[in-house]
Amino acid sequence: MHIMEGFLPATHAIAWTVASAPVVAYSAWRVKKVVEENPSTKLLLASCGAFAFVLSALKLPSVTGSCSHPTGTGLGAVLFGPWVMPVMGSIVLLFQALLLAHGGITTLGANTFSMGIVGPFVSYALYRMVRKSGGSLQLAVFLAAALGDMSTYCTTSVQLALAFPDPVGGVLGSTAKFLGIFALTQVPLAIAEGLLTVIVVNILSKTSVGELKTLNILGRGAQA
Amino acid sequence: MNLIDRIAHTNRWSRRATAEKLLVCLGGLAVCLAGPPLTTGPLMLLANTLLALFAARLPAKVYFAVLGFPIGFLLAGAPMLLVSVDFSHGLGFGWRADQIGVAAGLVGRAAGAASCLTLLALTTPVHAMIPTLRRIGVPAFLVEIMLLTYRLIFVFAETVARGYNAQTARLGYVGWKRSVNSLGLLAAAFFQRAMSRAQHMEVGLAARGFEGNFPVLRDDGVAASGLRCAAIGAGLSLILILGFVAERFVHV
Amino acid sequence: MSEAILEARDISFDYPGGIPALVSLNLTIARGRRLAILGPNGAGKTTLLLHLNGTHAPKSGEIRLGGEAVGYSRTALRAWRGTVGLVLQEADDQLFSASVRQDISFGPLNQGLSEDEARARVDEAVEALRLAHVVERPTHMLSFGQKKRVAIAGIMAMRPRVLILDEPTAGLDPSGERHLLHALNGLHAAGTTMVFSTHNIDFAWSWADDVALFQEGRVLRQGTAEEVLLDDELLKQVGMRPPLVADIARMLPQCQGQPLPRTRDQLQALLGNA
Repeated sequence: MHIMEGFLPATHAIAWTVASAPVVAYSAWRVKKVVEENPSTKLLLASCGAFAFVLSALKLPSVTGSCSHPTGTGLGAVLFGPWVMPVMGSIVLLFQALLLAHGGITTLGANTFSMGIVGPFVSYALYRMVRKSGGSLQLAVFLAAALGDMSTYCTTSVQLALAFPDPVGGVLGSTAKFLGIFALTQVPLAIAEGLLTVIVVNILSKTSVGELKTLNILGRGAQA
Repeated sequence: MNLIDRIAHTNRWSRRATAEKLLVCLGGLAVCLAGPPLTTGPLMLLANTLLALFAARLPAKVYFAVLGFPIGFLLAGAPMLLVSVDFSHGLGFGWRADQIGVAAGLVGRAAGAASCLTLLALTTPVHAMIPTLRRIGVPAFLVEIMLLTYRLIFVFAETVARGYNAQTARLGYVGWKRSVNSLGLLAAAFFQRAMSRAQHMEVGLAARGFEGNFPVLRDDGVAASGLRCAAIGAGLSLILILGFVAERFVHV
Repeated sequence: MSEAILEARDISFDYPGGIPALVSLNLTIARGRRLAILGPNGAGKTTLLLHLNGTHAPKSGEIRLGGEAVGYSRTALRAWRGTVGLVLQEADDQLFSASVRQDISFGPLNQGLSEDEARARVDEAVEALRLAHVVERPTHMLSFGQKKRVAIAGIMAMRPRVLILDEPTAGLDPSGERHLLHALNGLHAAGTTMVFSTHNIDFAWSWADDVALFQEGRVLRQGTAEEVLLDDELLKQVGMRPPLVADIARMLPQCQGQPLPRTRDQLQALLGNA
């Protein structure tokens, strides 16, 4: 759910950038500690960033006929933990703007907020909650990815509603309006992404135990 | 994606000073957001289109295709502002003609801004832009990660495209269920490749003395000319002033 | 044979899980020569090459560089990798920058050279590998063969005395292979010792001075190309047949008692003169 270049007025573009900046900076500080401890994680992080970018450029079939793109927020949050995501997410979003003309530079802050911060943290929280309460890995991953997507889309709707409040219904009215419009594409997309992420994690948990351990180290270091 | 990158490397402006191009496009974005949207946006769109087609000589087809995607989205989305939703008496919908000004302003601003991004993306190679982030305080390790990411995107894009084609050849994308399944398989296989690529690269770079940092020669590139920067600044200011002046004569 | 610049003495190495990869292996690399490490896929050639620049350390045995056993400290490895350059089979594993020039400058700067010296090294390597026409292009817009040459340039800019190439011609088209060999011949003529792995016996015959025949983690025989590649009995053991050009030439009367042709062109010249 990218907000396109120039869609938000100046005050909103700046406000969302200001809101995202400290989280991204803190995330960068944690990544820095990991990188200082083990410099070759730079290669690993870049690999993950490029992986996310390339995957996001693939089309995900959507029920409504239109094609959409997987966000990978849920997968990233489950694999790396949420704290790597704000900084890596903003890097991927910048590349999407510059190489795909998706999203934008003035809306980078708003998009980072929804896709690099809210989405991953909701995903991760759900994942932990379901796992802790004894839910299966599959269920945890599905809910994390699908509802992470939904949270991203809700955030975007609120961001748009704040910028364009309904003259009658106010922010609430326009939030409902944007949610309603995007539901058509975003709900099936979230379900598709949930299923997709379950398939991916299923395979990885069988065949890539070593790699997952490496990433775990990335996550653990980031929690230090 | 490949197309945007290729044009960025092969247009007439490819070797122009990156700072100048950034000034044109980021300055343009600032002007779009600062000026009255209804008039400044279209003026910016016009100016950028002229620059793109006649100065940078971008292929018109590519320029309009890249720009057309967000603008199409915009034209489809903006009319939604004219519908009002209200919960005060149950759920009510209304048509708000008085919102035409807001919607038109949004279209103007976003179209102008999208043209700035399009011009930047199509004229400036990404690896020339990234190092300038150092100047606004982005730490070196992040710039290194970004440059590596940029390089790896192209290495991976090839792998994934091959996998996708191979799956399509075996009917992996017929029907929704199979598509999701195929994409999942592809993503998982590709993830493993990406991880092993990182490991192999560590070996490959160790052979070249890699100990954690990426020292490289500075790209001397073309230095920005003060005169041209001043001209760009003047041009941007002119658009901004014109935007304000024109606003007095435009009523929606 | 001239003095050994690099040696593997009795080295053994296991893959994780205890699967033996190299078994009491001995190999001698003579200064200024071109040594082919010939063997089927999966014989352990790459694993051996990764020992020759210290990426892997042997479980037992030792690697000797210039007659002395090498150590694996950071300083020792740094000096070692400056002397012995390794080019991986997959160029993409070695190229990290989108800018060809910046990529090539990486090794020299890691060696602690100044920017000016590094710049000179880059120019020298670009010239030696004939890359001047692609140096302004981004890495991802290069052909497979050009990327390979950039990877080699990145190593050559460090001025190693030994250049190790893993399957240098794999995946190259004939013109890419010609360009590569042309460049490598130049480097060899300038005094660089070459070691390369290959499963292609015809390529080994056309380009190597010495050959080490490799099978299941061991060197079955090391000697000059003639000694190894014309020994039918030995080749039969590894399921190989002699190089085509040599095999044909051996049957020709004009080749009796003469050095056999190494390349198709040489063979054609012989036949043309008859």
